[in-house]
Amino acid sequence: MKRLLAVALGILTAIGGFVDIGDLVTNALVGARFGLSLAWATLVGVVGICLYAEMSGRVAAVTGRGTFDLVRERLGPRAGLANLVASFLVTALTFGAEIGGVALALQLASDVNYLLWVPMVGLALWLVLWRVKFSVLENVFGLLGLALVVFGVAVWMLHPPWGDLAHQVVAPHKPAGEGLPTYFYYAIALFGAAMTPYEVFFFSSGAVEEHWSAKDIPIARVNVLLGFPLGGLLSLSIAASAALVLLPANVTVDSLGQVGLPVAIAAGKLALAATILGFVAATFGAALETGLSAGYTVAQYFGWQWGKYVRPRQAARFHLVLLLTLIAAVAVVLTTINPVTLTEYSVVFSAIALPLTYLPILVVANDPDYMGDRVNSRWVNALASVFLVVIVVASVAAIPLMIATKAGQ
Amino acid sequence: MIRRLAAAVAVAGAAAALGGCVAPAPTLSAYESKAARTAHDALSAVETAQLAFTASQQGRLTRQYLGVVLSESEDAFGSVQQTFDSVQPPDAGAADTMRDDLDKLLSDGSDALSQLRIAARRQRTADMAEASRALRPVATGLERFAREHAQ
Amino acid sequence: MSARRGPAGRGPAGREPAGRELFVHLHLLDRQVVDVDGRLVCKVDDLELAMDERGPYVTAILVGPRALGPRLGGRLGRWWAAIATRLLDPGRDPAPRRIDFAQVTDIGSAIKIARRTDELDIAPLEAWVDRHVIGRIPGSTHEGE
Repeated sequence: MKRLLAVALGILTAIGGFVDIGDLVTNALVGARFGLSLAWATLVGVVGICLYAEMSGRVAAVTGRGTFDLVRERLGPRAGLANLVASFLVTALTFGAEIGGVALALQLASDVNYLLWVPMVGLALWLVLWRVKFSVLENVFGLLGLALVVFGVAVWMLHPPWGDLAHQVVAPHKPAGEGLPTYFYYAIALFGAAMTPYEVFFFSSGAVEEHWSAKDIPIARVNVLLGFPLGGLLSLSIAASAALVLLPANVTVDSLGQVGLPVAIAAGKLALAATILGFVAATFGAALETGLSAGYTVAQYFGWQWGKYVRPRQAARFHLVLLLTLIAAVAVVLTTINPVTLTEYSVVFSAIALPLTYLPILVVANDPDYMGDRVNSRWVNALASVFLVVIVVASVAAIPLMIATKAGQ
Repeated sequence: MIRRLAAAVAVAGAAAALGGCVAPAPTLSAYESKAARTAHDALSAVETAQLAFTASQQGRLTRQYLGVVLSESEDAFGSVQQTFDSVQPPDAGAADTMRDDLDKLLSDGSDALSQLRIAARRQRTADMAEASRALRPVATGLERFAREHAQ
Repeated sequence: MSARRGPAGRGPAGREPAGRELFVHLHLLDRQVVDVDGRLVCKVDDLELAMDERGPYVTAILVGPRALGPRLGGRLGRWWAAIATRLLDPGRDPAPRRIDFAQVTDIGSAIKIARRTDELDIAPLEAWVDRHVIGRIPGSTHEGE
């Protein structure tokens, strides 16, 4: 019974924790512009994150080593450092976007300017990172993030033409008036939002934080294979609600307020309150994850003691990196850069950085020296190799497409 | 390796930053496409405000949420308007006509959006309804403008 | 390259005859070092080798920026090592910190050593950060999980 409860909890937090500011903004933006004709990109991204998160969790459970620990071991100090710099910058950028997202969500609840919320959000994040147990911070925000299920409810209450929506998903068709480069630019953005590298850093390091061993692998697998696809369904319902309400009204999404509008219109004030709660929980939870991930990557590269399973004094350098990254991220948001714009860039740069994380994981997951008989099965490898090609293509195409479309205009 | 990566990031960042700026429009067709783009973006801000207003009439929106969405729409509209105004139109009669048409819509829209926001924050329902009515012809005009000048 | 693993600090005569053959690139370099309590100590930033009539063998794990700097190579590597020397150990012998290879008890996905982190003087930055920043914040000694 207790075991069942633990599995259920894991699945629920995986669903609630799947969505972050990148998913919220990108899905609503794309839904309002392209309907569900880009749903395939989210679906592909979900399969990819399932595949690679499972792999990184399995590697961490068997070896006790976090992802970046192995990245340096596989790539050597020089290429490993280049990888660290790029991965850290993308994660820190995402961290800033999440902090901005929390502040925007609080603005929607309070009508107090988000810039006033930013320092308070920063302080709250630091207190949680400093004092709250890993398992608590992982579970609480994941569960509260489940409030975003109202997007699914809203889609239901809008009585959509289901057949038409399904047709858009299975037979994707670029809307007239949108260029092909723009279409693929946003496909990459959705892909990056679903597969953000920090999710893998966090997932594998979390396995070490919680002292997983090989016997925890089946539970982790269930969490990933059920939780992430259901989280992806949440992403799709955000896109669908925007496609049903904002697209016909000629609204293009450039603020978080617009993302929640379809829920209010479909289901009223109470649902709107749940939406805002979900926004706050999802972005705050993701801010914790990205902040920790930034610390994990640096500490794991240098071999420092890291993690919340030891006292802060026993991982002093790790906590210093957390603190400095937090201050830098807060400072970036306080420059008054639009957090939604920051988010849009963070998902695309995530897509660009994907191969840096995913290739070393695939290599290590196949190394019997580390993994013993827990190496990838043949079909996992076949699928993972196909994905690696997709990831590299998306990564290489992202910058030219960004320039050609002026970042999706 | 690191230097090359840094250079790539810097180039991408610069390109992204430049993408956000507006260069002076050199040709009539470039000007027309900018004008259509402006109408399209302005329409989005107007329609967002209209959706929020309608939802609040039906009691589906909190006062705070309405306030934020209306302020953001007004800001977005203002920045679209300002960007368009800063573009130097080409020396052609067609460009001036286009500019006059769009300018009229933009200034009407800007006024109505401000009225709507002020009324909402004062919780004056009748004034809100009036401002929303004033937005309707603006929305229709912007939509037609965007359609006619789309290339 | 490959090198035999032999206990260091003793003369060649005291070395166990069956030192394990290892590929230092694959099995040792850049691997995590873990102490006797399971705490993370450092990465194997470089290795100290010695020669005897049967070829090279490992005598110590070298740790810290002055070990890593030369392996990074180029201007970045020199800069890395120089900054660390100037900031952390002014006036100290510029040789990298070392962990005697005789302390190594196991080589797997991590390298286990027979000592505790705090007994080894290998992380001056950690000590400095602890003393001046993290240790001064209230709650810095509360239990982890």
